[in-house]
Order: sequence, then structure tokens, then C-alpha cells
Amino acid sequence: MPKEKVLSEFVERMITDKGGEMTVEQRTQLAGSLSEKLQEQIEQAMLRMLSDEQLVELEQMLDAGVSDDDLERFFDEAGVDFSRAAAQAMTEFRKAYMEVEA
Amino acid sequence: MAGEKVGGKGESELTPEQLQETGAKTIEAANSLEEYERQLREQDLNEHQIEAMMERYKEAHTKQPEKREWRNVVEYEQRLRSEVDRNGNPAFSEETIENLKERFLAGEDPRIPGAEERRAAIEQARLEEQEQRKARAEILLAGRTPEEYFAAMQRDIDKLKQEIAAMGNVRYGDPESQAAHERRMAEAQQDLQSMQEKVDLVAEVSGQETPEEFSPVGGGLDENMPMGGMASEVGETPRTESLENELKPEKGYWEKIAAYAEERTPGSMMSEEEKTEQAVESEERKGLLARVKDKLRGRKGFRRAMVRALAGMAAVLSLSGIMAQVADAANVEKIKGRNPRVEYDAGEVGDQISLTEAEQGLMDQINQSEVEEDTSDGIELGSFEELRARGQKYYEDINFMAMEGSYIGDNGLRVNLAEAVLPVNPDVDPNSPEAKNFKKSKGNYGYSREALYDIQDEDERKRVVIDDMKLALAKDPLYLATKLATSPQILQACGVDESIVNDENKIRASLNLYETLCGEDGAALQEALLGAVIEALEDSQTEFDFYLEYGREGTSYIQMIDRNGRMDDYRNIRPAMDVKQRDGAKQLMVTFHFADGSLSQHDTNLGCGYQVNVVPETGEVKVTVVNEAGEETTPFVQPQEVVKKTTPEDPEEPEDPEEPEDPEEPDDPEDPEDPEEPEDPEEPEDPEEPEDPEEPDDPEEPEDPEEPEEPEEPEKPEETPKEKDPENEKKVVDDGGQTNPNTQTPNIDENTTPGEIVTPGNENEENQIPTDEIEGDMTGTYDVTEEPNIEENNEENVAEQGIPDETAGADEQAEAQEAQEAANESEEFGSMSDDELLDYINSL
Repeated sequence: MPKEKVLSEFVERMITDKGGEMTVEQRTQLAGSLSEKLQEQIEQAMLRMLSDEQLVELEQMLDAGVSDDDLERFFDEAGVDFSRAAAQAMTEFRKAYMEVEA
Repeated sequence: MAGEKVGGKGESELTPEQLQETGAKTIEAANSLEEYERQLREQDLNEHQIEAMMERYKEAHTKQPEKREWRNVVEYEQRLRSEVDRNGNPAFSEETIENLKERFLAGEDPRIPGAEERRAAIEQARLEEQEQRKARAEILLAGRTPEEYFAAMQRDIDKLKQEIAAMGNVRYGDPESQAAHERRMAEAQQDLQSMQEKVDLVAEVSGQETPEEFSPVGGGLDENMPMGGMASEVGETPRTESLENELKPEKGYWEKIAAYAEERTPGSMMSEEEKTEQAVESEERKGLLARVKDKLRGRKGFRRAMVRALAGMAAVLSLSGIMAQVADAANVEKIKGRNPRVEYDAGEVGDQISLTEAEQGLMDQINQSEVEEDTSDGIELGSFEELRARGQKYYEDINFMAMEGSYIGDNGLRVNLAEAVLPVNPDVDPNSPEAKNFKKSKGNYGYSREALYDIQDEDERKRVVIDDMKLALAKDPLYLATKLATSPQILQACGVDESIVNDENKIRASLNLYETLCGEDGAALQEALLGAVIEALEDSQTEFDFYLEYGREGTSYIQMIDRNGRMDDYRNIRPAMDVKQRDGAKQLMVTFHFADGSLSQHDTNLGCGYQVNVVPETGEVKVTVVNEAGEETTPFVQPQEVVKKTTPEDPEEPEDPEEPEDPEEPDDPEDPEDPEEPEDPEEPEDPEEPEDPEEPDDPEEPEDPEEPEEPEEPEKPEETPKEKDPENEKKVVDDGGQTNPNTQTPNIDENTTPGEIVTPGNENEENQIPTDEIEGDMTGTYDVTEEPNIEENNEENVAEQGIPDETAGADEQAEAQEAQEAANESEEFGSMSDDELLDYINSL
């Protein structure tokens, strides 16, 4: 899956760059865990790009049972560069990971 | 070359000493030039670059003699005063000038202090700059040839041009929005300019001319369109590059991401005031964020937005392999979706952004992946019309009418029973398993699908099964009826009559459902049912469990109404039930999980298409559906080579309270459908059965001792919620409800302990029917009582294996009772000769 591929490739490189000895199983587990966290960070970063007004509007839409199509449209029309937000979140995530002592 | 210039202007005016000095300098310059060239060649520069740099070197050196042409101190002083530093200020102070003049007058040759150093520094700077540009070009090339890079850039530029052109068509009434829009356009223009510069850089460093395609020759965009003029500066370029060329890994992975992230801080569109506000998150905002995030959990719309964000990032970075694929597709998506308010002119820009086949494929891949990655909350069936539309679309997709054997029934029903008529197909080898498996009066659900069992790749197997099953369901309305009769959720969604939906006897339900399909509105119902089952099959939670069956079970088959009629006439067939003893038959259990928490299961036999298995005698679904109260009976757990116990022995703990269903059987005689059963008149033909040679094998079954697989059985009691109550079963038989006159598996009667696992006697090799005596398929399935080889024009009594309760009249039930008693005596058969057995059966 492309999304997973993007994230997993990112995480794999990150783990490789940091190095450290670990078994295949440990590495797989770590990669999975990091991918999950990274995804969370990206989601968070995307939401933080929204203004208060947009967040309120979004919450109201969600409360009203907005459809997935309309939800997607909301993000499309938010006027926010989510791609860059994702990139920034990923960069920060990597930085944090690299700084953590193994 | 250098000497010519040395002897140029002013040469005749030089004194002999000066000429000698110039000559020496020329030689020195020449020597340096050679050294310089050698150094250049060591730097892996191309010929074009070396020539260019040597030319500059020569220019610098050939000027030197001219600078030395001061003939007197006055000229020397003038030369000193003309020197300036990098800021344009005099290079020498008055004091320095005076000192130099004194040295000159003293006969020294002080020259121009620092001039050489400056020249060297400049040259060094040029080299460094060249190196930097070369390094940058390498990054841009990322292992590609310049031609490949140009082709890739050409495509990106094309897309950006189209995007810019499309953006130019948009104008907002709201000034703020318009301002933001203009900023985005300006950024896009900058991006375009940047891309052009990159192309120029690579062209220069690689020693190539900027490709023709990038020259400002206009192109496909209308220059009169807003932004079109600017876009045309880059020029329209044809697509020449395959996507594969984009898949080479790039260098500078982290650098690219970091640079991209920092290039413009997210939110750069916001005003400074907004940024500041956002930087300091209030508690209120934090709470809001947390709530929204929580509410967005699992929402596909948000997930898609995230996928697009990642794809957009990958598009810009073209990071590598799959990311490049995503990027490529995402670029297209961005063009279409960056600003949804853009109204494309189908005649102009719209055409230009049409997807190539490859791009569409990638988009499909992304979309598909989104579907796959979504964890379904269960099947949510839409309205009847939505389901119907889905079914219609599938028929269109497969071009149903173009298939051999397809026809439309008089009520509009789509029918293709080509597989059902297999045995009468002259092209089919009569000795083939398929043909042998076929009986004159019984249709075949289809070719054996047992090969599916052996597919190792589970994903692949699932994909194949889904595709194949959809097709089978679309072609054969009778199969559609029997399969979906076991799924009340789907029947309900399609508006099927409640009496059918709630009928526990699934064979009877399938019969009535099939009749409905053959009725006036059958075509629309067929489409809706197909749409619904496609929805269910494709749901990510739907399970496909392959296993081996060793038990006795009821199974549906296609029954011909008029034996002399055509098998492929949908009005001449109907579903009926047979009872089979499975002995390692390859089977598939399909489990649908619905959004309301309920599930439905469909046990199918792979040896005969996907014929549906049910509980023998009762026609109930083999595995119980979870009730709405959430009392989830353990769903089918794939036993994988584990011997399943025979159905009668299945524990029924949770179902016992529901057993009152059995009493329904006595109602059967009152069922108005009974008179319609064609099996009744067929009963007299039972005596033809004696042809069965395998009967003697059945009696051997009771001799079977403990099965080796039994130790695995203890799991079963929890897995199989519906078990027949032996006592109740006996009661049904006593009451005449048991209409199956076939010789029952003797060990059923021996099963005195409810839930006790009794292995079919035929599992022991010594007790098995010799393979050369097995009639029909040898795939682990055979009739519990042998089916006769029907002579031509003879009719087979299918009622005995058909729907038990409905088809039985009082006389039949009496006969069935006798047959049951005979079955109880079947132990004695083992001592009978074939002739004795034949006589005995005839006497029945």
C-alpha cells in the first residue's frame, strides 16, 4: 500500500541510519511501532494546521455525521499544505528518534 | 595560441629586453596551461567544460603581458591606481603606491602586488562553483542520465503548467481567498522557474544544450488564457518517458525531506498574527484538537486526506521506487484536486489533464490500497437501488451477454448455465471427473474448484475466489439463490419476503427464493442480490476458510424438473438437497461480517463448483449465525486438515433451546408447496436404485473404531453451535418427519452420547469404498447412500435426497420410516452378497 510504503520506507531508513544491533523480529516490531507513532504524528500535524474556526467547523460536521466524501472534501478545501505538514512531522519524528539513546 | 596573443598589440614597441621577458612569460603561461589542463582532466570534467575553462585561463594569462607594458614609472603608477578591490575601492594606499614606485625606479620589478593571487582566487572560486554546480546536478540527476532527467522534468513541467493554467481560470469573490489564491499561483510560478533553472543547470554541467522541448516555443496551452503566457515560456513537451525510468532510487533522501519540510513552514499561508496565535496553543484549542482527533479516528475521509498528503510529499520529493509511483499518481491527483473549486474546461484544460493509462493504473492502485487499508467495520449494505446498480455494473463489466451460454429469461433474468450442462456437452470427456460427477438428472454447480485449496498464497487465493465466486453467482441464478438463502441480512436488504428470510431450512428457502427470481420482478432482485453479495465478498472482513470435511452433510444440487427437458433452461431446474458423506472433501467456509455485529456463513463444497452445504435433514445453516443479542456462537475456525466430526454429533449447547424448529417439520405436509413437488411421482422409480454396487460398503462403517483424528475433536463442541439433538432427531423420524429413505450412516444410531464424536467408518482404509467403485467424483465426497446409475430414460428418485420435509406425503413418510428401519438394520448388509443386497433393496 502506498501510504504504508511511504511510512515504512521512511521508518526503515531511519532505523538503518541509527543502527544498533537487533534481531529481525525486534526490528520488525520496532518498525511497526514507529510507523504507528509516525502516522499519529502526521495526523496530529495535519490537524494542527487547521485554524480554530476550521476545527470547530470540523467538529460540528463530525457530530452531524458527515460522510467520508464530505470529510475528504473539507480537508481538500482547507487551503492548507498538508503535504508539507506531513514532511515536517516526519522530519521532527526522525530527529527525535535519532536523539533518543538506544 | 597564447604566443599569438602575446605578440599582438604593442609587440613592435617592446624593447629587446621586454620582448625577451614576454617570451619567457609566454612559455611560462604555456607550461601553466598544460599543467592546468592536466589538472582539469583529473577532475573528471567533460571536454566541453575543459575547453571552456582553459579558454578562461588563457584569457587571464594573455592579458598579463599587457599589464606589464608599463614603460615608465608614470605608466606603472597609473596601473597601480587603476587596481580596485572587490568593493571597487582603490586597491593600494598612497603609501603603498609610493613604495612600489621607489622599487620600480630602483630597477626592481614589483609588478602589481596581489594581482596573481586575485586571479588565482578567482579561478579557484570558479572551479569551486563549478564543482558545486556539478554536485547539485548529480543530486538532480539522481543516477539518471541527463536524457532521463530531462524527460522526467518535462513531464513535471507539463503538469505544473496545466495546474497553473487551471488555477488561472479561478477567481474568488472573497478578497482574502483571492489573495491566497494569487499567492499560490505565484508559488507555482516560482516552482516552474526553479524547475527551468534545474534543467539549465543539468544541461550546462552535462555539457548538453537545453533540450528543444524546454525552449520557449509555446505549446499546448492557450497563451491567451490567464497564466498561459507564463506557462508557455516553459513550453509544451511531449511525453516520452516511461514511468519505470522514474523508479531509480535517489540520493539525499533525508536532505530532501528536511529541505522540503523547512522550505516553507507549514502554514506559510497564514499571516504572522495567525502563526503566532497558533504557536501558542490555548488549552481550549488543545481540547478541541483532542476531541476532533478522537472523532476522526477510523474515518476514511481523513485517512484519504492523509494518504494524499503523503503522496503529495512523495510527489515533490520523488523519493524512490514505490514513492515515485505514488508521486506520479499523486501529481495527477493534485492537479485535479488541489483546488476542488477549479472548474475545468473539458475542451481545453480538461483534455490536458486526462490520465494516461499508466497514471490511471497507479491511481487505481492508490485507491485500491485505500480500500484495503481501511479496516472495515463490517458490511454495510446500501439501499435496494444502490445494490441493484452495483449488480448491473458488474454485469456490464463482465459483458455478460458476450459469454457463451448467456441468455435472458422471459422475465429478464440473466442466465448462463453452461457449466451446469457440462456432462451433456459433447466436448467434454465423458471419463473426466467433471463428467463422472454428473448425473443425468442433476445439474452441476460447476467445475471443480478444488485447485483453490492448494494455492499457497492466501491473498492470491482470496482474490481468485472472490473473482470466481462473483462470476459464478452472476451466471447462475440458482446458485445465487442457494448461496444467499443462508444470508438473511442480504435477503432483508434486498427486500426478500420475510418468510424466506426467516426460513431455517435453507434449501427450502433457496427453492422459494429461486422461484421469486423466476417471477415477475426477478431480474431486478437478481441484480440487487448480486450487488449485495459482491459488496459482502469484497469486504475486508470477509473470511475465506479452506478445510477438509469428513462429516455427513446436506448439500444443494440442481434438480431438473422435467428430466427430458434442458438442463440449461432456468425454468426447468430448481435447488434441492442431497446428503453426502464427505471423506476429506475440500471445502470452503465463507463468513460475512455485517456492521450490526451479525454474521452469516456459507459452507461450500469445492468439488462441485461452490455447492452450498447445510445440516442434513433439516437444511439448516451448518454454523449458526450470531444473533442480534450479540450471543456470538464461535465463528467457524478453520480446522485445516482437522477432521470435522459428523454433523449429528456436533454439540448443540446454545441451540438446544431453539430446537423447537424441528417441530416445524410436521408442518411440512401442510405446506402448500408440497403438491408442487415433482419428486412425488418420481418415488416409484426408487426400485431402480438396486444398481448401486457400493451399498455394501456402508454397512462396514459401524465397524470403524476410534478415529485417529478424534483427539482434535474436542475443539469442535465450541465451534459448532448447532447440533442435532439425537433424541429430537429420533422423534422426528418416529413422527415420520424423516423422509430420507437412504441408508443412514449406521454409526449415527450408535451414537448414544450427545456430542460424542463418531468417525465415519469409511475413514479406515480397509473400510473405504474402493476407488474404482466410487461413482462420480473421487474428491472425498460420495452419496451417503449410493445413487444408482440411472438407465437412459429412467428417472432417479431425487425426492429421497431432496428437501426432506416438504416433499413427503404421509405414504412417503411411512416409506421413509421403513427405509430408516432398514437403515438401522444395515449392519447386516455386510454379510450379504450383491445379489442378496439387490433383492433386499428391491423388496423395499
